[in-house]
Amino acid sequence: MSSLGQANIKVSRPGFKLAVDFAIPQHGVLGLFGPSGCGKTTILRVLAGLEQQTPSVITIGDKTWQDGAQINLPPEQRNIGYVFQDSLLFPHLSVAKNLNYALKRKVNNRQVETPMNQDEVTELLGIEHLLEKNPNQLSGGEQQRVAIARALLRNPDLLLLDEPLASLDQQRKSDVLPFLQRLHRELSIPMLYVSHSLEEVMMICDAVITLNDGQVIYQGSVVEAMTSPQSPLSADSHAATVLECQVSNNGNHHGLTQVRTAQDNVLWIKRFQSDSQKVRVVVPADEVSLCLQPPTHSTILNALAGEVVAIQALNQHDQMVSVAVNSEIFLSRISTKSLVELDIKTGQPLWLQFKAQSARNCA
Amino acid sequence: MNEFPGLTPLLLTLKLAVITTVILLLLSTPLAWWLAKTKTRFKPLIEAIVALPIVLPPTVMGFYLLLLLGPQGWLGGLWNQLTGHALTFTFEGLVVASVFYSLPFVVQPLQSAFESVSPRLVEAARTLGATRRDAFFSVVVPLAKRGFLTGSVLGFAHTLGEFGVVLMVGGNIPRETRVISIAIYDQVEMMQYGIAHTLSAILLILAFVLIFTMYYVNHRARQKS
Repeated sequence: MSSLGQANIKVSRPGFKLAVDFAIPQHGVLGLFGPSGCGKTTILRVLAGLEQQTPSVITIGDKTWQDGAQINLPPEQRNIGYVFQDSLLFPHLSVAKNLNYALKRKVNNRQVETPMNQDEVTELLGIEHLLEKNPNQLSGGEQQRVAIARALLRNPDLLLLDEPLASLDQQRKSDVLPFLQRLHRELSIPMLYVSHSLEEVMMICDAVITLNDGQVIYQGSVVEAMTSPQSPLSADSHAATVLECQVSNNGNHHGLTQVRTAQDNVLWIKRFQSDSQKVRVVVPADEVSLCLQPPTHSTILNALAGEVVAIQALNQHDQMVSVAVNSEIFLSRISTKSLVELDIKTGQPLWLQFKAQSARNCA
Repeated sequence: MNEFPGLTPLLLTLKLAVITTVILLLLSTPLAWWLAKTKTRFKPLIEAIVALPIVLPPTVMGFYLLLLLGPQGWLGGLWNQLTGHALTFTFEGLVVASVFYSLPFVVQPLQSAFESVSPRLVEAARTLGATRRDAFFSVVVPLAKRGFLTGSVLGFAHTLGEFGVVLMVGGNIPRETRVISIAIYDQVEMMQYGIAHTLSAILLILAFVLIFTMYYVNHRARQKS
């Protein structure tokens, strides 16, 4: 994928060292994933120009934002939108005035695209009914949607999102997540998405950089990052198979939708509520069972024949088995007891099964 | 018809308080912002110097100001070169003295108001395209407006009631340095309790209305937020 720019970020403070070098893609959402304290947020802050001078080098397009020596553009000269974990709406301004704050100071130098106007942005984030309110009258999820709208109205070249869902409870998360997916689907603006939630990364990001202790430990597309045995995410307790699929039949099949994966595997999933023909399917490894015989007379709709390509012990009791189905990897988390009793080995042909209801989907 | 003898001191006092407050706001805003943000180890020293007039007897303060503003003092000497007369026993000298004397009453509320504005809101403003200065005026100042109100009222009210410093630096020159508190003292000295009563009552009511308005507005603002 062509890149928008390159970030070579170095920060060193007592007890903390960060050194990462990565390309920022021109389109799509790049996730920065890792545990708390691994330096994800610092990366965004350096990109935004909010950290003190560091020896980092950042070039975006043909512009150098920072060269580690003389050049260090202040935040207002970097064409970014920044969405903070705690939204940081201005408490003395109404929602409309918060949006207007960004509009008045928006970037005007992009020739290619016409910036979105306020109506389009408020519609996109579903906040038309909140304009006259004050920030303290909004729920956490609403505040975050307003903060995203405000960042978009700046008309940025790059949108930085710093754990935008982390301070929200489960209910509020589901108020915001669909809107983030909508941004991803409908806007061409590239985004960097910082998160420590693998679930969010799987639902929102196209590519992911996994960080630990200030270092990149894996970098790749989300589909590969989840299943490649080299990727630490494939051994995560929330690991799942991520599949980019095409809708092949969205008729009225008892509330189900049939999709086709990139490798022509056919799956049934829960009814897909969107006009989009593209759908991302997430199959949690916990929901996939293995069978040595072809399963018959089963209520489980998805049964695929494949071959074991890797087995990783997650701990004493749990094993992660990677199964290739038409060269597409599916993850299955099984107990060590099952592994031993069925004598499952690498290279072994077998069948995997999962219920249509257990696969999550998003556009 | 005879003019009410308290009118001239009253107007002079109000003029002094208004000019002093305006100058104080202009000086204290950058000073308080710097004090709120600085990491220098000299911060406690500067804060102590600013706070001195709160605890220093006005006569002591007035004595040093007399030396500073007099023709031999460096400020008075400079002024003398520029204008041909020293700062002592003039209205301008009173303004300078009042600025020193009331400084902590404006700087302290402003500093604590600035300290309570989250620096992260300023960062948010910067990422939305605001320069440092723009973010200060569009985010910090509106959020610190209670500090500006408190500082202005305290600075104004404190200047109204000044006595010791004025006596030392300004003396008692009608239309030039005879402010209301000096006039009251004069009237009492002359056993003219009637005028002293009227002037005292004016000052009492004025001070009360100012302070009450400040507390009331701050109370309302707290309830709203």
